[in-house]
Amino acid sequence: MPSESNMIIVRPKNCHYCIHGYNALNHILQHAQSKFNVRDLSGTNANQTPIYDALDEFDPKYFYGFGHGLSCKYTGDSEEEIFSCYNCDKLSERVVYLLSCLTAIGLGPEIIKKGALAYAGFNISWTWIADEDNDGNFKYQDPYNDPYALCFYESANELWKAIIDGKTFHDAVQQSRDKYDEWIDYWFYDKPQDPYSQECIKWLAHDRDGLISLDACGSINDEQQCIDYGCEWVNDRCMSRETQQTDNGIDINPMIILPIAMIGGLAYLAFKK
Amino acid sequence: METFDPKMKELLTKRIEQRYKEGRTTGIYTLDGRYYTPEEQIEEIKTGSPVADELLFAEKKLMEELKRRM
Repeated sequence: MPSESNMIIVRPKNCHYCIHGYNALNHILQHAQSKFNVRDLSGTNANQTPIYDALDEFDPKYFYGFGHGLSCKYTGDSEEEIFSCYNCDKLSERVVYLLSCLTAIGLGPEIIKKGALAYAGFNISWTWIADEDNDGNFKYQDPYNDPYALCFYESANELWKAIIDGKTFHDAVQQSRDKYDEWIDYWFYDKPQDPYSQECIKWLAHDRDGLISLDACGSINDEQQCIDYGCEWVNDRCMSRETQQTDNGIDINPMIILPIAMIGGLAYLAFKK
Repeated sequence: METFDPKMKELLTKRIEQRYKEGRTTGIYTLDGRYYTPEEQIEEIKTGSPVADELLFAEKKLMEELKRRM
């Protein structure tokens, strides 16, 4: 059983353009260390073998990984595979957030199928912009010092910051989306004269809407665990807050049920007449 | 990824090209390890690559965000 108080943070440094994520997650690391036992797997330790070893020995409930990704693959410092759709069992029983491209398409659902408690990640190529020097390199190594990159990395980190602060998974996801919105407002209302304000708004909205969360509410059978986890206990079943599950196991949004019920009611009245 | 009708595609393309001419576009970095200069973004849109779809999709998001705040 993974330890509630243990957390792994994965920060590759040497992959293409990874220096920003490496430094951005350092801010989260600092925040996490006051509340969790944290194992920082950074640089060359952000590769498959050290990560697998740490998952086995340290057995954390919480896993935040930054790095490159594809729909079925998450990679590390060497840009070699860490997890794939066919190899993600080690994330079972954990809460997982991958700040990476596209993993919500294939890898995320597989992580949940393999028994993870929750997964958040992106179904788009997570994109950011940054201030550059005359040679086209990052002007600032830490995106938190960069007038453009800050908004992207702070919004992405917000999810994990909320987890560290004890928020439920669903609230943490929402808090991250709210942070993207907060930054969009900043560029629209406070900095419209900046030549790249619209580029910031564009990619912040793109990243925000690409954030996908999946959870295992349906597999929890204990009421208290269900509530603790941020799910809802309805009719002796644990359900995600965002959807209500029908008896046949299909997730149906209540906003869809209402119009269908109204149409059905009207059809019944017409038939009676 | 969303596909656009020709009219919408033209509108989105024009908006991106206009900002490019005004010097208001910038390079973008992605977490699949790629970097696109403003010129490369314009080129991708012209050739209609899968990357172009994502660029146009993002531009539509921008339109929606601006409209919401007008």
